[in-house]
Amino acid sequence: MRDPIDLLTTLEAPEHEPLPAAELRRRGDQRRRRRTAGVGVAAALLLAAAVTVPNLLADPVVPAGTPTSDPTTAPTPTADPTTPDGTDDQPDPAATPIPTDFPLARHLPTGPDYQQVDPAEAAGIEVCGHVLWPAAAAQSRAAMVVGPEHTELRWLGVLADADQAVALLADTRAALAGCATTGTGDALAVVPLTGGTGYDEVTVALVQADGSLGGEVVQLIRVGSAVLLSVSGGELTAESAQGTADLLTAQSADLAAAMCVFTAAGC
Amino acid sequence: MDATEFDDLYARSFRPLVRQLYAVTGDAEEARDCVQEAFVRAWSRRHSIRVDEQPEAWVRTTAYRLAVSRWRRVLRGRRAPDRALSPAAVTAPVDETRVALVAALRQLPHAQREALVLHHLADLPVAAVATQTGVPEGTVKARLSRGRAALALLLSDTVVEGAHRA
Repeated sequence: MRDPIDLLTTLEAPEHEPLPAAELRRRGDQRRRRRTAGVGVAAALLLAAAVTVPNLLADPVVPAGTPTSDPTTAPTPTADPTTPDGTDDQPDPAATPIPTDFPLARHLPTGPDYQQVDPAEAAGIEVCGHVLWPAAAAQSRAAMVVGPEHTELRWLGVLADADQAVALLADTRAALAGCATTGTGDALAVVPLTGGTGYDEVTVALVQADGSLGGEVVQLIRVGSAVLLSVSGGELTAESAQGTADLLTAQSADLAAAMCVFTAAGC
Repeated sequence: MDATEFDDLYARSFRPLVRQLYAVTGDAEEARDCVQEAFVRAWSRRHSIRVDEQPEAWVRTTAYRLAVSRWRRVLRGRRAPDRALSPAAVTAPVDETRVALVAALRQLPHAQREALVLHHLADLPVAAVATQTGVPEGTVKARLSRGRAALALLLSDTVVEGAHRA
């Protein structure tokens, strides 16, 4: 048998007709223009969050699932949405269907560079032995887009009751506690991040442990019996992940308002 | 980097880079897509990439990261409908040696495969492989040695299996 290195050095890829260089330059120019425009959009969203979140925090009435002053503390639902004997006169938030106009994809990027992808095709997200997604839920909806430089996933899950939703986030926190790296082979570093939606939340980055580019920011927020998962994957590092987290936080805070239908007392 | 320099770089580097990435991924179409995408990014960032600072290495690293991105893997097997209308690969007779080699490479640990490809296909010296992969030179040498031995064993097994089937 020939030396394997001899074989390797003579390896040829099947022939493909490459795109013309001019076409690549055209796409690069288009990408550059879009990237420049995107900075303004991100800044606007962050500004909106800076205005909206303090207003919510200032609300003297704090029903279940609305922002609390300490974003790191999981709020306990003030009322059990259901009672064992079924005499509860509140609507069961877990039984509330996800509104058809729920704006799950509101902040997802659009344009010719982005493909909408069936989230069922995505690999699951497992962190430190804990399956973050897909998660079991009574109802759920998901949206995902994949672009040349990053991927965005949003998942809204409505659990059987608020206690189960609380437990979902608690289990996630427990799995992350003391877990510095996850995965095998190309290990990912687990980097806790600051959220700031004011809701019960977990925000974390999974980045290449060797410091190279690539990773995702994962954020979970809970409002009543509903959990919103936001994932932004792309050319992240541990240092740049907080910026992405800030953007997700602004978007999550915006979507949280639409999740009030899944609280017993409303927002 | 101006348009002429970019076009020269593309003409000179496209096929070697696709070949290297093919050895890493085992998927020729994916390799071509990643390399083309890396060139698109290089042009979109041309003001920060200098021709005297090894732009080919920048493109290679970018293409490689794209190929191993787990988010990008989501799309594998799910090609856009117009792919069927894009220029097709030239249909060549199946090269069983190439198929066996690619299959064997895919069984190697990622780090060994990367070292073998960078050193033997990209012709990078050990020191450059060490720099690019962020490990000491001794580690690169060990990976090359183990990778070569594992590849020989895997190809030997393939040959034996092929002989048994024959």
